[in-house]
Amino acid sequence: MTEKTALSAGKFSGKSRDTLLIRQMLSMGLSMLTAEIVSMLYPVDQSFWIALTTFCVCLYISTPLTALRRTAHRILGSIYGVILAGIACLVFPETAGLLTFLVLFAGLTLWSRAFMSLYWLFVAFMTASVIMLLALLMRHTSLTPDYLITERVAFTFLGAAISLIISSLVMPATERLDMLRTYRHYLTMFYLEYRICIFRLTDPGRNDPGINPRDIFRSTRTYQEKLPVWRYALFFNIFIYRSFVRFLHRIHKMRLMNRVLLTSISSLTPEDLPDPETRQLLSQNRTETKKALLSLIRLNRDAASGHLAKLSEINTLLEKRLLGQKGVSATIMLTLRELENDLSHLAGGAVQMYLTYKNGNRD
Amino acid sequence: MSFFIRYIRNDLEGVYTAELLRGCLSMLAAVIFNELAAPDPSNAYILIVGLYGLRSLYGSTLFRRLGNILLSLLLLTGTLAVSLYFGQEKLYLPQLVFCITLCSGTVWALRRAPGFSGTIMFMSVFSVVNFGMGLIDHGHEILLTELFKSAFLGSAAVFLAVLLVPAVKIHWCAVINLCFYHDLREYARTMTELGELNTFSEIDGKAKNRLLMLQSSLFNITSYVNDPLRKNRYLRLLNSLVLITYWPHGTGSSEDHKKRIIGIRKGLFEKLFGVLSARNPDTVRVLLQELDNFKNEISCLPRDPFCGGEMTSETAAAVREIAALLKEKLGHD
Repeated sequence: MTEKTALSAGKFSGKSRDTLLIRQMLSMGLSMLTAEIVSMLYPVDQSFWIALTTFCVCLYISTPLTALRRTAHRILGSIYGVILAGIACLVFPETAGLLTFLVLFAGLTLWSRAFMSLYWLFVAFMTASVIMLLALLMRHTSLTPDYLITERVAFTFLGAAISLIISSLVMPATERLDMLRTYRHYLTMFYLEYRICIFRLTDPGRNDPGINPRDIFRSTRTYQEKLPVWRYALFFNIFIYRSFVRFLHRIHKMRLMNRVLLTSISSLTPEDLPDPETRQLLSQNRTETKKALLSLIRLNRDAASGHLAKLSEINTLLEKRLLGQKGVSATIMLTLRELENDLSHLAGGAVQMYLTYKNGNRD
Repeated sequence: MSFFIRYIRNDLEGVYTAELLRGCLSMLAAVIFNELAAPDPSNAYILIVGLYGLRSLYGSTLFRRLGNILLSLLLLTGTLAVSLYFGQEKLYLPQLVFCITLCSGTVWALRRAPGFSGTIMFMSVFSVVNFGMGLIDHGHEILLTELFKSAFLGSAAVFLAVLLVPAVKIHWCAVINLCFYHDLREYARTMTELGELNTFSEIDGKAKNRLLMLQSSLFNITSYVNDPLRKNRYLRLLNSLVLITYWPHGTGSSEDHKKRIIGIRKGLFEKLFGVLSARNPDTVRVLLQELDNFKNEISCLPRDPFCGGEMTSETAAAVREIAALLKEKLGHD
């Protein structure tokens, strides 16, 4: 990518981030407007819970599905919270009991924040804390604790439904596009690392950075964090979801295999370095791998299979030369073969088929 | 134990734990103030403002953190007063404008001004709650002057908590090493349970997920180790273990080579699991000696034509690192 195109890509992503922020603010504004009006019209004293739920669901959402996931967690968490606080209020209705549980639930709310994927746990303790606080606030009124916990679940449903409906109208649904982008990103990352390894063999003078396993793990974690939302986008289709998980495992393994390659290359003595003919074959291996990956990125499975067949032929020739040399070169060859197998699995994998089916061939 | 490890794994920076301590202290102080104050309907605001101790701290120095908290408390008290007034006077339209501005502002701040996001989030939440409180306060029992008095007491509780726990994050010190050894043992256990692996595809998805989670966790824990020497040891050990896990022995190699690679992998992880599970220092010493013998045994094996000895050297490196780490640990004990 040239500097100019990279810059314009940066500008574009900046612009799209701005648009997303505006949409998020709009979604929040409209949801709160609706929730406030509904709670004002609802003839119950504690109806502000509707607006409060809407606010909490609308935070941190970027697509309607993230809103749906938060809604599910919110409702589940609220139910648990109401049960928890209900038991506390009914068993210990005195002020001392309410105060003790307020401190306890407030502490647990903070503690549960450490379990980021368990949003419902946070909601449960937060709901319980707020109910305890309201029970204390209402000590001087005719309202009783058991009254305070009634209708709470209904309000949660209502508030979450408002934010869900508004966000599905305002927020863009980007999960499918994100799946494709992520798939392409990881294939590209693999190629960039693979290229470093092959260049170390064919062009030892090049000053390429190494491969840091920590970066691979960080990148894997980013993918893992997307999976829960994709589960919703895939309508809980377990087979496709598992295929996405398997893709993550495979690409992660492939990237670590690049590290194996690099380790083996670094232990080659100058005499073990490949001869010009082997270098030529390694360059061809790199080119065919690149073409196969580009075909996968463009969701053209037939072209990818063609390039993989050529890659297999090149590897057979390489095998004769490298396995003949034995020692470290043999490990390099075994790794190249393993990676070729992995690429074949990717080409025939369910993720490739699913993405092609949903997005069409991009050639 | 593993629940505790899981908690630390999720809060390696110690940010949530610092907040937990501060929040609990703030709430405790607020509860005490509430009990000591003369009975009044506005006393609940001591608790509401005391809840503010639950938020994150921002600022490089304690002075700045206190300044930020002071400013935030002033804004929160102002919001409480405004929304209560709107509620008591049934001013729906101004409340709508006020609430929507604050809520949209929260979304903006989360992206553009994270340091301010906690303040505006609390303002949004309490503008909604307090408007509801104002609506049901038919007799205008809550007076603004009393609200300010209660807010002052609540603020005192928050300040007290900040002064007692002024740190933004807590370093886990030696506990982080405990987590490292726990996850390393789990990793070795998983690899041992998997037994002789011909290809990585043989492993079921659940085990792959577990391996991936443990590898990520180990690398993540290492990044929070302060001692550079120990950190480098951990990194070298992990690099070797990951390479040994994924070392290829598939297409094109001989059966002897496959056997050797599988044998080295199996032997290393079994012995590693044994030494990491041992509690008695004498047993650890014996098992370390066994691990060292294993390293010597594989170094003395005849040359493998399908391998330049990289797997053997990576195994030796892993054994060296774990032996150095455990000997150091035994020395400390």
